[in-house]
Amino acid sequence: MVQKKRRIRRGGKRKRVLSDEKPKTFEQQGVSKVTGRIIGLLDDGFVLSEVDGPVDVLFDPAAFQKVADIGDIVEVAGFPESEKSEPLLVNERLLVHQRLSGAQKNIFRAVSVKVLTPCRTDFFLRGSDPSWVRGMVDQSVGERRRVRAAVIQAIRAFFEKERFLEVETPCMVALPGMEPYLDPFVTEFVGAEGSGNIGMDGAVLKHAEMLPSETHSAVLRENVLREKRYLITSPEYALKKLLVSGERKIFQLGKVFRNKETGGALHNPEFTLLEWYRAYCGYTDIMEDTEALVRFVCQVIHGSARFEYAGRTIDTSGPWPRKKVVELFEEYAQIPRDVFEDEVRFRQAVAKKGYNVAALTTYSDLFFAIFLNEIEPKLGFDQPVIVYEYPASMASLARTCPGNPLYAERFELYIAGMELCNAFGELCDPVEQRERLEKEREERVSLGKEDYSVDQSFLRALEFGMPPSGGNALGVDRLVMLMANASDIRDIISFPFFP
Amino acid sequence: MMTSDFRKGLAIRYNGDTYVLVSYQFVNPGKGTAFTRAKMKNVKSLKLIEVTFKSGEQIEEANMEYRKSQYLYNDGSSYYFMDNNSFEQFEMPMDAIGDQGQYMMDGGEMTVVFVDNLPVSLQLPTKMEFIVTQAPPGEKGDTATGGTKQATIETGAKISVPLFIKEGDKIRVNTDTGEYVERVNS
Repeated sequence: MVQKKRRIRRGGKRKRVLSDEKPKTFEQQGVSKVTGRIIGLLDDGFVLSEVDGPVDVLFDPAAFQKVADIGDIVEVAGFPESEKSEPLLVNERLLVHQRLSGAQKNIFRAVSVKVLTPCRTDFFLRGSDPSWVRGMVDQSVGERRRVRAAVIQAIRAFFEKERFLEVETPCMVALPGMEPYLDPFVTEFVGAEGSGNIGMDGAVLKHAEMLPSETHSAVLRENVLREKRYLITSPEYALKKLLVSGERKIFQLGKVFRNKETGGALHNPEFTLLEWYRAYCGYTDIMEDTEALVRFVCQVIHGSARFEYAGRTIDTSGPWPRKKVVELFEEYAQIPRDVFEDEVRFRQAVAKKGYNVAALTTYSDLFFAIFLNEIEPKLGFDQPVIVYEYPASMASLARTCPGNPLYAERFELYIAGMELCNAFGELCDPVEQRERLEKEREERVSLGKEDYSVDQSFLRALEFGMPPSGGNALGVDRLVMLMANASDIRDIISFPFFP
Repeated sequence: MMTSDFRKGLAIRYNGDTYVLVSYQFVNPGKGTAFTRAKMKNVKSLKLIEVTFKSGEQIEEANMEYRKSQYLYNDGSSYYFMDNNSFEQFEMPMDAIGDQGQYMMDGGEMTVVFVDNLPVSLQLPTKMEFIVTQAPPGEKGDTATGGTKQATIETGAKISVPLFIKEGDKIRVNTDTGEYVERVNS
């Protein structure tokens, strides 16, 4: 770190210059330049992180003097000795470079080094450092960032091809979804000073008057309008309003937020959710969309319908197996339909398997004890699997199956034991929807979750009439995990919430 | 006791046996109630099992007793200790201790957790100090690993350290993560 300003002497080169000729300038000799960060030290030079990957920058041993230190950002003049690695074309806008095999190396013979920005720390990187820090030396971090960008580009390209309209809806809403097991983040709108005075700020007051009276979320305090807001756990209500408004094919890529998250390999409190809806369609059309989308993304990223994940080869070419929930309980947990549909006998069967049923108070507790432990971890390792027809009580926003009201038109996609999406044949009946949301509200209260009102504006939209529709919500981060062969969501989010 | 009281090394009673918590993960799947997935080691058979506990479920804590002990030596399959109060010697199979073994120094003092007079787990301080016995000069080799090199500490464990660490330096190591924390000025 001390000798940074000193330039390297070119003694070795000079000997080759004829005595009565003026030494040529670097440009005349065909000198080129490389820039980057010094990420490793060698006996006769250093390893530079260049745009296409690491380059060994070597000095004539006789001339080698330390002018720069590890971590410094430098510009090196000299001569490339090897060809650069061939870039691997991933798609038109994105290049991911093939990593050199151990034997190959990019070598650059240096004649001079200039420090552009010195590194002012030890440049000691720990495994526990955040990925943006590890990315300085670990090329795979940057590669995963590129896979993420490519997946998102591919999703947009798919929906553009299918002539869907991309829409944006608010992240902050007066009332969030009613899902019993989700906890929304809470924030507050604060009006400008004096926003409570009549005539001072007509727009804000008009807005306050428009708010549904039963929410009571807008209050005046010290003459300032304050209004409770929630971060969305899903943009579902807003997107359905757009269907009512006349849109037929829409999608949204955006962040959603879920509080009381526990971290782990599959969860981040804010994550990227893709939702799409088709009006005048059913949920089997959404199954077709889902297959086509995942296949398209896989083709763009891997140039093939197959991809490697966690040591397995998963084939996305269809058609994918579709399994009813009730069939899976029979197949993986030996719980036949008549037991599955009878809570008392279901409870006995779960107890017989060694579960502590005293702690499992509801039907849904019993369901998930088996599903999460005995079924989910085994799904979708050779081919993606669509799991459909859920007990109606677990699909508040889905319509019940025609001819079998015990089950609802809900499906989930599983790949490599991971849930990728959750889709519905949407419930259009405002009366039934109100009843179900009120029931979920009671369930929330009994679970000790925050109690808030049912969103009347959503029910009002359904009262106008929503065309029969199907919709899906797909976790983009998990799709990126699959495409990047990453086993932990923290590896494909640049700034994960949990370290 | 509930899952929110979980910590590594805790001994619990489960289905009539005693287990030590090796690792655990709180999971809030967004569908169904939150739960905790725990990896636990049976203190007698040393078998690892994975168990799911629902959040809020009552869990029976085993009666743990903490005894200050001195680590004496190992014979390749067991570690031998002496109880500082009774001066009695006892042994623990290496499998029962796992990764923690690499931070044990002959003669080192530590707390051993007993259940029903059986030693079941060790309590190591999260941060411990060790002398570096081997630290190759940093400016060698041809792999780009940042300003990091492998050093060996007095117990024989290998730790990634910054380039400036030399043989004979005393360093602080996080025994949970196995990571270098800092150099200790002496």
